[in-house]
Amino acid sequence: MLIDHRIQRILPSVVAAMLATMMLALPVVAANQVTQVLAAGTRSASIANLTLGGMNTSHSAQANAGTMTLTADDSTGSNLGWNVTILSSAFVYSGANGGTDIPAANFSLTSAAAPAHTAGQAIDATGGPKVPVISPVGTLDSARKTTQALITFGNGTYTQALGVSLTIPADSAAGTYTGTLTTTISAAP
Amino acid sequence: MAFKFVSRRSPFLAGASVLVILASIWAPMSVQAANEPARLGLTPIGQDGLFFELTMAAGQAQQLSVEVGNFGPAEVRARTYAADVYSIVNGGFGAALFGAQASGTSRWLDYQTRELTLKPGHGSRIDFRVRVPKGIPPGQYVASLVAESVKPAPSGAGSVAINQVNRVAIAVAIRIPGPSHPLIEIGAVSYKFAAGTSFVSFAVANPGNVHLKPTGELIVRDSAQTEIFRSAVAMDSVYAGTATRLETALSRPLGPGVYCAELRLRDTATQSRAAAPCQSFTVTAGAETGGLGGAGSAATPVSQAPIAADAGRLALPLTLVALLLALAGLLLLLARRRREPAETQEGR
Repeated sequence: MLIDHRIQRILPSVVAAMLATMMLALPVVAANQVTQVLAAGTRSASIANLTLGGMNTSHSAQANAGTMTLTADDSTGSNLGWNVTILSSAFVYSGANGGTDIPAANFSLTSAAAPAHTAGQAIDATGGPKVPVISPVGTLDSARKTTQALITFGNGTYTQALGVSLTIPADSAAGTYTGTLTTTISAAP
Repeated sequence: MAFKFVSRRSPFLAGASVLVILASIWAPMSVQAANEPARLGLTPIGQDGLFFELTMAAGQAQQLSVEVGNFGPAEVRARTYAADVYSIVNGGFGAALFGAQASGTSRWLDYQTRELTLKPGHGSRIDFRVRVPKGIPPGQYVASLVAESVKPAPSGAGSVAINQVNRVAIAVAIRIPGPSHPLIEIGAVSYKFAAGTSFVSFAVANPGNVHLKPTGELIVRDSAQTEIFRSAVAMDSVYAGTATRLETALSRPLGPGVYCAELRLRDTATQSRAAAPCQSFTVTAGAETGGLGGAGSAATPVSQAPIAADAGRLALPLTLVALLLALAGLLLLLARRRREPAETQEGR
């Protein structure tokens, strides 16, 4: 009876500790796909939540569509505007099946939604942040400007939904394909 | 007796629970900090604005300073370097990637590539010199300074992995006073098909000595000269002495056949202009699909491998470590429980 009583007293503490462990540890897997809140004092841009559908080998080329989210922030208080560009490298093959790299030109920006306001200055139809007049869609072997804020605008945090597509060449080998996506926020004439 | 037993165990229980909870909190926080993209700043010192705007004469030198700062919550190994500037597709500021051979105005900057370890909220001041070579003709010139994290941040999941490099770049714009010679040139037309979209593009060059922002109109006609597409175009900066292309996505894919495209451009600030008559291009039977076929036959998985990213490799082991700590605490408790009844009975 005493042992049962002890177990009853011990068990809630242990279960609580285990639950706390699992609840706090499991979100780590998803943490990689969350863009962090930006601190004051600089401009920054990053991509998060990249999703691309499953890839299967095929004797024909396949288009693998996905989405990603760009977050841009200007906390400089300068009101001088900014531009964000993205550029991809080739997707380098790694695996045991002798695969070849997928060229950067196979990775395309297929859509660029109007930026959405998260914090700070509201979006202005003329001053932005906005998608450039000429749509940025196209292959990402060249840098593409996806969003811009003109002078006196863009003093806040904004997100932009981007559609992407990776064309998988016919008869691609099984393995992992790793690309480098360079996101640049700039101030220039 | 039961009260005494519980009172001896409580500190141990509390300690074990705290350890487990601390471990579980520490693991996710460590991984999250490691995964967060770096937030770097690049700020001119002693200058108004977010980039350098200089007026200099040929042969003149000037001392400048910039601060590379870490605005993120974690220590960052940052890299900063000078880079050539080019005009990106449809105009705009492009800074060459790290490792690219310097060939333009960036060679005027005495700015050594360096790596810095920056604590959160800390920055590093870098002094450098700009020297305009003798004999450089009047005009507008531009170079850039770039800051980025040395270690790319992982993103994405599945058999396609992305390493993300986040950069902040600022221009070093230099004007050498003298006569202006604005000039736009339109080159050859080209066609391509990618990701289900047809693109028509023209080569555009700025061989003059003034930065331009051309606007205008692009028209596409079919073989019967019937207009099938018309769009206003507005390029961002096409920097003096650079070439790029104007590329427009068409509203619908073009079928096989012969087409022509014409382009008119004008820079409002300088009144310079250029026009290209309708230049023909051919869309072949394969070009309209970009080589993409229909659904493939007998598909086999390319890979079930997880994303090749540090986060993916770290998150699971650290979670397991936290769970193992919890399990160890449980086992210790059980071991103590087995010993203590005997001790309790001996005490009686």
